[in-house]
Amino acid sequence: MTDEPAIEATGLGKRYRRKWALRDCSLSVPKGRVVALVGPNGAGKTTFLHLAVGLLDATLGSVSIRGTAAFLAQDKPLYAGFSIAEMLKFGRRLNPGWDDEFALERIDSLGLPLKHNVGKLSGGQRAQVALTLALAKRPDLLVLDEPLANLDPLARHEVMRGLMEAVAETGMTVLLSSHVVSDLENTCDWLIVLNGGRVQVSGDIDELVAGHRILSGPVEEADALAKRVAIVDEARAGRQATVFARTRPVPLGPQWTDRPSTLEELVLAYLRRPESASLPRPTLASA
Amino acid sequence: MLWLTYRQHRMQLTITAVLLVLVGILLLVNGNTAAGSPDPAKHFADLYTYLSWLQVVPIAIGVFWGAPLVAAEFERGTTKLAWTQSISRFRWLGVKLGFLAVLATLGGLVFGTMMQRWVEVFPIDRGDTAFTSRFDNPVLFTMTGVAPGAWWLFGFVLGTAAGAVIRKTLPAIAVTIAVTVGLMIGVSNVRDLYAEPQLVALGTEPVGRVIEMVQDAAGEVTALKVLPADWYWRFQWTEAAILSGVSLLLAVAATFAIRRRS
Repeated sequence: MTDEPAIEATGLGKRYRRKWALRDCSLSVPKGRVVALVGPNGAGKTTFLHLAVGLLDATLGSVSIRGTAAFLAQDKPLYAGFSIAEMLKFGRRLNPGWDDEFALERIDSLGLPLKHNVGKLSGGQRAQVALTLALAKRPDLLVLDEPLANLDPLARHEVMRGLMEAVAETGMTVLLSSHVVSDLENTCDWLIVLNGGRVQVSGDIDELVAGHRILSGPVEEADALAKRVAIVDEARAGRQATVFARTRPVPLGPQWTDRPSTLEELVLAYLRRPESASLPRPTLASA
Repeated sequence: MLWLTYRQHRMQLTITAVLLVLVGILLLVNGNTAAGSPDPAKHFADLYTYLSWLQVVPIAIGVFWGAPLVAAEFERGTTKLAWTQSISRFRWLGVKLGFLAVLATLGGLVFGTMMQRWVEVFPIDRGDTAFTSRFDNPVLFTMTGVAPGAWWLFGFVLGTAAGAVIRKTLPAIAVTIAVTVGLMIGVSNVRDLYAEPQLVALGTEPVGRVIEMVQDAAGEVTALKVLPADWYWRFQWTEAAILSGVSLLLAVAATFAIRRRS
């Protein structure tokens, strides 16, 4: 409880002309977490990230971060015509906390020549150079917008591995968005689900997964079950009901089976039911 | 930040510098030849035919230096890179705008000084005076003295502001061209209003531009309203002041345009 959260949003809202891209967004993430921000396209993920790093101003509410932030935009912008060495010089000139030794070592370990023009890099190499630029700032919070989009499977793996090495080394907080849940399963430990501009889920992934179960049984007993557990999503096929519930294991009738949820099932269940939400209690920071 | 500005715009800076040197060499050669020639007016006309095109340089500065400055960064998404470093977006713009504005002004002043030296070779009482006079010929007026410095500055800041507001390079270029051409025509039409003309008796008028002939009741011309040619510098500074003022307003507009929107 003594630690300030790494990211804290209170009543955050952002409107573009008439349309709200983000609304009533309140959440808090403890530091040192690797946060997955997931949601369908247009859910407001990029807007949230831009608000967090100060590229946008909120229409309502506020978002604050602890310490310094580095940002890697979705299109991995680098200056056309610059060499890798010149991109590093850019980082060094514009950031007092720049770690040049780290940047040079990382570029070297990637096998990239410093003289190389950034315009001629492959997608994966470009992402790596942009990531190096962000990491060498030695930020307390690293924000990445769809870092794995447009990368081939090998490059996705390499970028993710590079990111995780840096996290292990520095203990920084990472906030990354994606619309592919499977990319995040093994790397992230905090989940935020954003849907239609609203936060549906924010919490520790292990706790979330442990706190949701998939129950199947006869349709006629489903309503009775609904009185005992919080149902997120429900599907009925013939006489069979499948219920996605926010619950610990509970005693069930003989005709019922239950199994734990996977992360992907959990995300899908919430996305299918925008009215459901699993939001943190105020004591979240102690998690 | 200065390094970044230079690195991102060194192509434009180099080309402009090379062109300035080339123009300087042309002026030097032509001026020297004309100075020793029995018919300097011919040499003037020879070079002037081409030189008069250089009045569009402020437009080129706006198009190549100004318009892409912010607009190209928006288009390529590099504002998201530049504005998430440890300096504010206003300092980013301030350094870029300030550094390049100084260089554009200096470039214009160098150009104006070179032209000035060249025009001085040609006596204004020789041949067509309106043509070779840096005061009466509107093209020479904007290409000599301090006016080119102000025009280059204006072109650059206008291009930058257009790019910052529109956020697309091509439309910003179109606006830069249209507005600069419009203002050039507009300013050349109001230049005679920079000062109240001198009222002088007929026959005592100084070298300069006759604005109005004053007639008595019988329709006889008795006096003239004249803008004397030696008001050249007064007019130059007036024009430079007007354009610098407009440039300052445009710089404020550009700054306002890149603020965070809420």
